[in-house]
Amino acid sequence: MLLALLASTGAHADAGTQGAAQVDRLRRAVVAVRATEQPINWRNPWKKETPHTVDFNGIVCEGHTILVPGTALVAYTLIEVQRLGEQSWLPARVKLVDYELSLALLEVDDAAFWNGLQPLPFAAAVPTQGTVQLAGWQSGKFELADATVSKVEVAMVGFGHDRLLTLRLATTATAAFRGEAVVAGGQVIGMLTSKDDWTAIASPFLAEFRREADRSPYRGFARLGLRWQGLANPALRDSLGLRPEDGGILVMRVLPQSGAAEVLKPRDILLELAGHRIDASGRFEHPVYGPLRWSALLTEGRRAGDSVDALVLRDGKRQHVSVLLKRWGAQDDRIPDNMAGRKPDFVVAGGLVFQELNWAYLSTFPNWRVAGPARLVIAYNLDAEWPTPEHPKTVVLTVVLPDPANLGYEELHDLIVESVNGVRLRNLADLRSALAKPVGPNHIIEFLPGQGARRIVLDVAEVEAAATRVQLD
Amino acid sequence: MLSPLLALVLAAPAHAVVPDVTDSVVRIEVFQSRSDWTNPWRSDPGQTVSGTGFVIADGRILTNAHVVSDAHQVTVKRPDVAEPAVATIEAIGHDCDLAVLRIADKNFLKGVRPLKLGDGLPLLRSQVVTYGYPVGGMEASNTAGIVSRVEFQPYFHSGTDFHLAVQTDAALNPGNSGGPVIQDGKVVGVAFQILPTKQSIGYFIPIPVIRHFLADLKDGHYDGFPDLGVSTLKMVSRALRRERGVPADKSGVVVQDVARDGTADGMLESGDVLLSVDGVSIADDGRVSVGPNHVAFLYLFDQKQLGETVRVKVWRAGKELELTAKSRRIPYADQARISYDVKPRYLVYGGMLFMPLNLTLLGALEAKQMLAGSPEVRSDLLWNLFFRAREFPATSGQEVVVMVHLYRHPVNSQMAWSGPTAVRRVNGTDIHSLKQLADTLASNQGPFQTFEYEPTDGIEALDRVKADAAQKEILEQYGIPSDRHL
Repeated sequence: MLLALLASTGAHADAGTQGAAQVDRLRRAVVAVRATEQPINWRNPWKKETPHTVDFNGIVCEGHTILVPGTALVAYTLIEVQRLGEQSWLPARVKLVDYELSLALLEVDDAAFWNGLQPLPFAAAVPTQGTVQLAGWQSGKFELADATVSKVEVAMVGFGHDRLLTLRLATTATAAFRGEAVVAGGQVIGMLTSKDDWTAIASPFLAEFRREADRSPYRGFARLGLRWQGLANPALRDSLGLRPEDGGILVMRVLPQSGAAEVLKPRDILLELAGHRIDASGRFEHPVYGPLRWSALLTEGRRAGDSVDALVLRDGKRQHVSVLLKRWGAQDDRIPDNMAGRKPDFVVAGGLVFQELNWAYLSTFPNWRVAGPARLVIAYNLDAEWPTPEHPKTVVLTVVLPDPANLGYEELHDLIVESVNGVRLRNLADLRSALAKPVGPNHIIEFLPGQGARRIVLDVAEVEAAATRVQLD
Repeated sequence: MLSPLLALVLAAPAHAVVPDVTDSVVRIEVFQSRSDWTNPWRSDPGQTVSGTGFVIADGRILTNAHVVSDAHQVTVKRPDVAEPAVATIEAIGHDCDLAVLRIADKNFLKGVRPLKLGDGLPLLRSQVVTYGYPVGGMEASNTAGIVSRVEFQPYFHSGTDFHLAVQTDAALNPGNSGGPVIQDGKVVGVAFQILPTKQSIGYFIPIPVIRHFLADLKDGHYDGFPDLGVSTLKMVSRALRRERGVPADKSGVVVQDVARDGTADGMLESGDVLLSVDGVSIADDGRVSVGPNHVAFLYLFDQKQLGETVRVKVWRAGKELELTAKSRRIPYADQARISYDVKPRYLVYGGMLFMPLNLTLLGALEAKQMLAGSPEVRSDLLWNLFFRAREFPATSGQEVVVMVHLYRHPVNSQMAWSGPTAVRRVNGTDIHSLKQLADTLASNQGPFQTFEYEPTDGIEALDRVKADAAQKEILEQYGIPSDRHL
């Protein structure tokens, strides 16, 4: 059920559900947040799209801070907050945003804003079932909706990876933004991060993040960086020499940017992490929540920079290794899967536009996963998480802006660049330095084979002249 | 996007019709049934389609390949004879969308005047008349149009091939496929495809392609068109011309990629400027003159039969060279063509269905949404099919084997991977063909059959003895008549 309360009076419509004093406490623990966003036009990265506003909620925290979902702050130009359904919006600052966790913390300089706001405690443990409430502001009205906890699990949130404890809710609420508090027993048990699947990050992690945010420098939370598969198949277990009682998951890949890169290897079988046995489907026995995905062990009570003990079966031998927990984000991937908060980087030479390939660029193509530029979509799907020393990034000629310097090349687009002037490109910085060292009177650009064009030549003087002609409006 | 025609639209022509032509135009009715590429021992229930054909010299009937593809029965009906006759397919060229039929009953075509093939391309803006049998009626009809363009075009039927085609505004519609296009009483083409999103853009296969097909058949066997196997860049850029050192009086295109085993392999190199083919100069935009038409230079290579010598001039390292090569077909290029008239190859072992990757399989997996949840696998298969040979030439011609589907049985039901996914290794051996995979499984005497997949790096294993023992039961349970068609 959903009940709308009159924000100005605090009186509620259904007295049978909840005491007025309790509702008033909830009203003081959640604020309305409005972000003005101006996304970048990644197809023409020197352009910005028309600004728009995004409404969401924030949870009042200790230390005059407001906890909000990071996905709401992808390309913000202004963030404002509104308390207790009052008319005015006050500017807020981002104290910290961690896009990989989809969490951010806001501050508001105006001291008067905090009068009458009062944080609720974060619950140390969350219920795995039962009725809870979603509390938040919508259009100046405070709304409370009943919800049921259907599952507590480790899941992917926003741009993050599956390592956060979350609540999966079922609710009859029809309207919500993001950032609503999930409350039970006078405590915050979660923050809604997605209204599509009614997922909320659970309070134990929210509390961890809030504590960590005060630390300088912020260490953040780790990803282990493994690709793994379960080992339920008894024939596979037998072939790997596993005992039936072992459990364990198979490491398929270790991402090079991860803390595990040094110590874990493909084909290792991960039997234990941080002293917890991992079963054949990748779960450990959590003392409160029962079987949970092993990756929760990376974030529960641990920070980036910590080390964790792993028991692995390698070449038939059991051994303990110490794995460094490392924080990394999309910017460390070869083809970043989100560009939240990032400024575009591009090179225009003789009307040829070059970018490092990223998800934001690909997503500008309608139905891009099927109908986007074929070789680039393949690169994204196969190489995105795989930076190598030769290819930390993938440089792409995205488009050719018409100019006399590029006559004959005007139809080229979306080609992966291999080298410029003999220099094999690792990233855009390499491209910039390569363009400073032409081959005689020419710039020579070579593309990955199989894309049609393989090698083109530009006149250095023409490219210089084009710099004043090509207008990036 | 082009789509094959199956009927010619009804029209009410106000132009003079050569009276005899209609008598030589036959209605073709075909019972088509395609293999089910995700259950490769099965065929779909089939359907009856109709198209058009026409009588040419020597008692043969010319039509489109797509009219008679995957045919279980072909019948031909003359406009003036009540009884249809059963026809056999004498030859079919899927790469050029042409087929030749023959009627066993020698008397069936008695009195029919074979249509004469013209000699060349119709002039731009000249009038042509197409003949055919519209869907929804048994009578022949015809419609006039103007030749609007002569151009190298994709031939949709194979999904891959390009040949010369003539564009016309004659009102072609589904149903007209295989019908003759007539000018001055002679055949100038075979209607075959339209641009469905555009009004009045139809295409017909012109005489040079038809004659190539018929000449190919003279030895009784259809070999197909050669594959040049290059990509080129027009030489419009002055910087590119200067850097290649090409004198001002020469023109041509700059060779980019050269595929293994094509006509160009061993003759052309990346960076060569291709100046002429058989003495015909190539303009900087890649066009050559064919009569009054300007068409892509590829046309000159396309005119060759397999084994015929092609003679080119190239500008390489400051010198003009004259080079020759024998025209060839790239064997592995067939993987990227849509397959017709073939039984798919497969192997079932331990409930796992293995098939070689090709465009037809990929299309079937897409159509059944079997790749919708695994963009990574989809990309891997696309890369293997269209990019791998160019990026890693040494792997050209290697077959990629796909584990398509898992038929669940206690012997395999705990597997984490149920397909589709490409198979990288079996029992530690790199897999480069379905046959080799079958041999690798058969020769293993160890306790396990192990499988390594790409692109995930996932692995699986079967208990060999149990899997061998379960084979018969799995085949029976799932109605699989044979464990293999290699």
